[in-house]
Amino acid sequence: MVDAARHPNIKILSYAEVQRVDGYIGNFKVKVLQKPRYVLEDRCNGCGLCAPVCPIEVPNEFEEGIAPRRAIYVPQPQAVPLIYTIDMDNCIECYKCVDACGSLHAIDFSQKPEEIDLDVGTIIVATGFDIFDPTPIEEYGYGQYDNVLTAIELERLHNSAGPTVGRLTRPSDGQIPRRVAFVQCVGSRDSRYHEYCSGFCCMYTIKNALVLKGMYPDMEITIFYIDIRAPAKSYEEFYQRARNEGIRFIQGRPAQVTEDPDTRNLIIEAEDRNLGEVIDLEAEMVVLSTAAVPRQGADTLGQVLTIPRDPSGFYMEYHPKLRPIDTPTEGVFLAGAAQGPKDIPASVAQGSGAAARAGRIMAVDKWEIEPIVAYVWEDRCINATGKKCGICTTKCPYNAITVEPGQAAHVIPAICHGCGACVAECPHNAITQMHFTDAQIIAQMHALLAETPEEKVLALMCHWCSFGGADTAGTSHFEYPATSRGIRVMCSARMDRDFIFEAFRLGAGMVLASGCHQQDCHYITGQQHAAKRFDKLASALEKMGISPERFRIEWISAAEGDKYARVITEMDRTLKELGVERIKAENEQTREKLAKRLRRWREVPEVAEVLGGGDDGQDE
Amino acid sequence: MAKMNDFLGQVLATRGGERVMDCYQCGTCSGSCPVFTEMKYGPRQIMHMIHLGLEDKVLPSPDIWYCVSCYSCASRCPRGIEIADVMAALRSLALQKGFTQDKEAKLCRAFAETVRQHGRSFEPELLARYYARTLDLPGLLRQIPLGLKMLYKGKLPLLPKHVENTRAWRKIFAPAEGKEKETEC
Amino acid sequence: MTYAYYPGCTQESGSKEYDLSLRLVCERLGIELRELEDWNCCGAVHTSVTDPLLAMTLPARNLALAEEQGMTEIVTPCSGCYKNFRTASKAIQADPALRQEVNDAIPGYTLKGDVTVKHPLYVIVNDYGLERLEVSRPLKGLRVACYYGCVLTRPRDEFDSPEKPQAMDRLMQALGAEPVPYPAKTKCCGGAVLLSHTHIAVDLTGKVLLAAKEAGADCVTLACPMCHVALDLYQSRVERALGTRLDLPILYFTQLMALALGVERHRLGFKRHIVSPAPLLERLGF
Repeated sequence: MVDAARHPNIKILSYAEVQRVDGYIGNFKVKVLQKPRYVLEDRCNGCGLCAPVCPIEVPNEFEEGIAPRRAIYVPQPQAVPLIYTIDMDNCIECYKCVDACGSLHAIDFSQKPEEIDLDVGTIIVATGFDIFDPTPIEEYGYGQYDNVLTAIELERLHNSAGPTVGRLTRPSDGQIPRRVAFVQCVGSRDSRYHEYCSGFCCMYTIKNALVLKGMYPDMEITIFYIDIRAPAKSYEEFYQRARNEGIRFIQGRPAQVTEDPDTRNLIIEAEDRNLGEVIDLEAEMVVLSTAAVPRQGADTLGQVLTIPRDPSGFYMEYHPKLRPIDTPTEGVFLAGAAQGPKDIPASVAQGSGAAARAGRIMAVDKWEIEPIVAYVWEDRCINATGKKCGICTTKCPYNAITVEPGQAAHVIPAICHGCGACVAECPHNAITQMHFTDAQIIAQMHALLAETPEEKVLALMCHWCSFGGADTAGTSHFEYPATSRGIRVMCSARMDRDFIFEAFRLGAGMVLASGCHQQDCHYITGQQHAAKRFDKLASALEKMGISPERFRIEWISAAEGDKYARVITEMDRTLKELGVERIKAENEQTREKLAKRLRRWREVPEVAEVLGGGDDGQDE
Repeated sequence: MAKMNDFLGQVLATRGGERVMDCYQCGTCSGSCPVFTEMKYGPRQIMHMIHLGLEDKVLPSPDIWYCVSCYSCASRCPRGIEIADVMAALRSLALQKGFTQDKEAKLCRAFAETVRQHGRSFEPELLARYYARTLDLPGLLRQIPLGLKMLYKGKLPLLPKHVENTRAWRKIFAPAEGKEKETEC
Repeated sequence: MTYAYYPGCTQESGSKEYDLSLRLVCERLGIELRELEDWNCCGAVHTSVTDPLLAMTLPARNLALAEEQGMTEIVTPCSGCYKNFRTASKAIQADPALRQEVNDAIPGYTLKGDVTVKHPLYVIVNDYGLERLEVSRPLKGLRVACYYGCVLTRPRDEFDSPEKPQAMDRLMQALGAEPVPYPAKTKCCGGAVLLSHTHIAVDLTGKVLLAAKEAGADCVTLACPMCHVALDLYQSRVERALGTRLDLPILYFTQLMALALGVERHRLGFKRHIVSPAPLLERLGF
């Protein structure tokens, strides 16, 4: 950390907060609020003469409240930068620190918050985690019984730089406990608090147990667990070592911890599953192995950076297997426990990875993006006329569209990922997607359905999943009837209702709208917009007089080649069962209604060209 | 939803049993259960046996009848499984399948019959029905001193109270009649 | 403050003193209890074993009656009834299909599902408020173990903690008594198996009484007629099993409240207790 502070290319802004981020990859504009420390950074040398004279003592956050700090303080003795800060919530402005500081004149009570503007190319989020507060788990007695601690409090007690200089004194009487019990999975693997496994608690408990055993060889240490998770390199051997050194492992999650009011010892009741008996274990100290939880303020920061969080509350990666360091916002990366509980080796590895991911962007002058981005026709955007719209921006999973009052919507190409949701949802046909324009797609449709459309299944597929599935069906030689004709778009979100109306207007026998399963959508929420749209569309089509079997909605992954084949086979069968005559009859009946629905589409010049002249849209 | 065997399927379909597959055998329930030492298996093992479909072990076990419905297990379960409700469902299944030897099973029948009859509980009839089923003469004799105490203190009602329309009332019990299996109970 | 009052099967016989004292307390506090007309048994723990739907329909009929009789809040003094009512009410509110099934099964009644279920302890502590109590005869010198039992606070709800509940303790403090801490506050008395597996109930009740005794309690106060039977009627059995005398009078919290609010001792049914509270009451000057 000290090396980082000394590096000429690294500037540390501490005691500062990111307030706002605008822009896009390679071109972020960041507003930082530098909070006032009331200590001048270029004058304070960290000598620490100010702190002892300060009359105010408050709980020390770093020492988990076990020890005090003064109102003028450094967070911990190895803080970088080693600059003191005055906690104005508690400072009484007696100015004793100013006297102690003397000729350095490093203290300045007139300091004001400062706004700093930064132009950066990439952002890495490494905001870490917080620790679960076990107070709500009343059956464990944290906060009621003095000698029930969290693991992090224990770490401070046995740390030689901690408040008790490494002597494990228990809170109630300062005695060294003869027996210590650890309880695993506190706050994690628990549907009442956090469902996930916190990942590092088994290992940190085994470490704590070994440290205590090393310091106090006669101490009886018991670990109550549900499962021991020791997966990484040499972790299992570490666990074996703990067993070999006499640390006792009992498989059984404690039901409750109670206190003996005279001795302040704790009694743990648990079913020892392997014995098949409920046991009472007495211990002078109980340590709760509490889970990692998302950092306080992670939600606010997430909104500032426009990066989503997953259901656990930790930041969401672009793809859990294939891009675990990237966020869906290009140019913003994740490192460490901010993305999910992980230990030091994994955090360091991910940090190096994030640096590399960021580095490759900053090593070049120009950054290539996909050309299949959305583009607004400003003369068609209704927001520009003063009428408030902005539907497009509510559908975009990436916040790539800005809408200012009285102005046309604006797509930031570097943030747009090309899902097409905005294009399909715009009620005024004011947005198009480059290389996947409505005109291009209809042109394909017209070509595919030019002859005997009633005998064909038109399949609309999304690039990442259902098209991949169709491809898999092909390469795997799964057989299915040759009645289908496919059109590929990037995401099911792009599948405009009008495509399906037009397909039926052209006389298609059956239409398949397909895409990814909800949890697999490459564009996070694209599929959800599509699903809602298709459901409404299905009712509308049925009302118009199209048999419901003719419009099918299926979610098919790229691996589900067999499913694709089966779906087309079923649709072909249904098509034959319905019969060409009936389909032709329905088409006759609905053609005008469908044409009416598509009237607005014709106002788009490119579309009108492809659709050809005449109100009934008959092709040349 | 996993349904690997019929018994598991039956339990999954009960109110409270929907999440039985979530159990990861932590043992908190057995550790919390005040009657664990009386039981043969304890709630945790019962959950496991449900997963494995061991109906022949679970339904005849005394455990389900020793359960006092105190909800300590359900309130502490980290998987949010309503274990006490699962036990109640197992009691119903046991009755349906004719496992009715336990005294508590007989008490349930006696209680249900009394309530069906009057719409309210009525201790003298409840006891009469219960002891007629269990034929537990020593037990009955041991109750007499307590019964007399209650009588003396005016705690034992002599006449039953009713809901107004007992005919309509008994219709609520109609579905139950179909499910009862006629056994020695 | 008006509530529908669901007495439950024991309030007219076995737990009459609870009913008496509750009504007297409510009278003093200006809380109106309107007894539900034509109420039925809640089913306790036993009835639904013969048919699981009864766990919903039996309480539901009562809730429907309350709705019909124009009431939106219903008070159930027995913890067992309270648990059955609130579980059924929550389940029916959350699931329209269940509500339909229940309504089909209780011909002649239609439950909308708008009735809130409350226990008198929480009505007094939360709705009425302890600050409003006018204690004319504080229970000075009374060391009381507050016994919540099991289903008063479980399954967990918004009123109190299932592990370390405080409502009864705070009430006792407000009445001038000294609630003693002891580890068995929410441990089950075993009442559900009192008849069928008496030894279990005696064992569990024994643990509660012993813990209260060892903590220095003069008496135990509680809020459930079933627990009262176990702790009072069966106390002599427990003493035999433990081989020690307990002499712990078991008092409903409403009886203690009534005394503190100035109601005369003879009106509170103390003569009906098996373990006589007379010596204790005399010592305290009542």
